[in-house]
Amino acid sequence: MIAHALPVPFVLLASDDAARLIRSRTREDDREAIEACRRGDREAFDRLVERYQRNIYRLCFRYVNNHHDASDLAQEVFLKAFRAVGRFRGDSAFSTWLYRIAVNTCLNFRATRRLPSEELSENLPDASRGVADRLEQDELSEKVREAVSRLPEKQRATLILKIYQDLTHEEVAAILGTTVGTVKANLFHALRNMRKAMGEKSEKSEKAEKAEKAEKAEKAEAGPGGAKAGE
Amino acid sequence: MWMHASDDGLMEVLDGSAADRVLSHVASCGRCRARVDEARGALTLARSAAMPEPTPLYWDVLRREVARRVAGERQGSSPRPLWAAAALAAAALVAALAVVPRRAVLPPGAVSPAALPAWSALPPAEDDPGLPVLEHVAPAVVAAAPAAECLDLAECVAGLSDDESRALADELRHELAQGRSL
Repeated sequence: MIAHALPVPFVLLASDDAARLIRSRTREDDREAIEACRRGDREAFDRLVERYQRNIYRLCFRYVNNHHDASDLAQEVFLKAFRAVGRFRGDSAFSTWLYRIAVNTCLNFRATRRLPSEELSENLPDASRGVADRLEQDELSEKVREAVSRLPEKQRATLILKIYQDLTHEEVAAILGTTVGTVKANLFHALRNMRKAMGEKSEKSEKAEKAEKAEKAEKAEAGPGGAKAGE
Repeated sequence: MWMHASDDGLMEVLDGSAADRVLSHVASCGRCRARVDEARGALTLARSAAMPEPTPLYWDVLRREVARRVAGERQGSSPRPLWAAAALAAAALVAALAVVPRRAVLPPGAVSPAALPAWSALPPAEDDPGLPVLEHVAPAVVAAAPAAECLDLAECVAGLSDDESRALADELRHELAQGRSL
């Protein structure tokens, strides 16, 4: 029944083909919008912003780990793209070009600022999850984001673009100006280093927890007076 | 010589695109298998790390903010075309020429501009004979200069750059001189 509701080409296409078709149409739409931008169509650039704002914001957030800076950076990325759209030659997809601007903008930002790591105050809670589950998952997500933010630049860029932007190895290679083989190797290193960073952190917190427990036990042994007898 | 699989080869094992020889090596090599397992665990962790999403309304805000800044860029970067300045000058000239003959037929008792001291208070708007003329020609000015992006004569004139103001003044001087000689 659902098949009847779908346009015929999509029913006949395998998912890979459908994805390819969608990408090719998006690329065509982008090309038209860019041409319109060059002709002075004010709404054309707005259409491009609408199409890519979520991905660009999310990419920026993965870099800076806070909403305020991610929002500023996303605006900056689009402004840079607007200024340079006249020079866009169309050798690559517009999205590849835009991602490259975004990665460079985030790298420049990180190079000039120490990054805070704060939660987004206006995020929407997932009502279907229990509070305890949610807290635990949020804590884990935060740990992962922190570990990602501590990765070397190339590994972090590769991991963000591949895992969180769901781009192909080829697309990531085009954005970062490298080879597919290097992208795969960098991603492998990134994953292992991220795990290592999380392991180190949990080891540190375990030690801190043990020390805290020991201190509490010591105090309890000493009684309400504070110091141990004989000390 | 016994060789371990390369890192990109191991990544291919993870994403299911590895060649058979790499797969068979990993199956028989404890070190490579351990590395793949470690990376697979990290991949699962990385994928599970959700990102706080802004409210759905935020996207409109972001888009509007970008549009506002882009509009600012457009104003700053695209200078008014020269023909628009010329059109403004021509329109102002029409206004000036329309005012000049009126000066010649001032009602009896009215003070001639030439007789005014170097400084004097402006006459009340309702007594200023130039204003109706300017109001009359203002729509023509706007129509003549659509790219100037101004809504009325005052805004157009106020928005002129120094060069444009000088060009307009020169044009007016020239035309007024010609008008007097007619």
